[in-house]
Amino acid sequence: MSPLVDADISADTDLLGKTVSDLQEDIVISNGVISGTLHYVTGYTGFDASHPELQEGHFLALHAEAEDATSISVRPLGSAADPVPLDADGLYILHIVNATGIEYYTVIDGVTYLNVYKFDGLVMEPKEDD
Amino acid sequence: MKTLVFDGNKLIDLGSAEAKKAKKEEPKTKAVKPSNKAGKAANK
Repeated sequence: MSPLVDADISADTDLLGKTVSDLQEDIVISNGVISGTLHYVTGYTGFDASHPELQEGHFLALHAEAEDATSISVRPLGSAADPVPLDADGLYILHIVNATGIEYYTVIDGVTYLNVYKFDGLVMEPKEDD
Repeated sequence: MKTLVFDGNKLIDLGSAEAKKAKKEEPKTKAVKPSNKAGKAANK
């Protein structure tokens, strides 16, 4: 049972104070490649209220699901950190910094899967001038 | 809904709340450098 990771989230879905359309546009995941557009976001206090440096930049909202799974978690590569269980909605928001792709593990009912996605075709819009 | 931070392709932060829970408080210890003054004085 491998996880299905997609970005099929309604554009007006509230993501901790920003909507999907505030963060991204036309995100498609296919054959390990993520394409589409990430807008430059500012003032994203809902992402991390205690770290202002994490409230600005590019954010990618993804959705994970696995048939008949009772738990889905994510954890970093090369780390003994405990996996972070996703909520029932399967949504997670990624703050992307200096990355050409993302690599992480998804743990489904105790079984670990490696997720590797390249950002080929992903446009990260620059910060708009004030 | 969870928040994650990726830097240089790697997942480095497991969301604010989770990261705080995961971080163990480092013990506050102060390195003490042994004094050698007594020994020097005795050798004079």
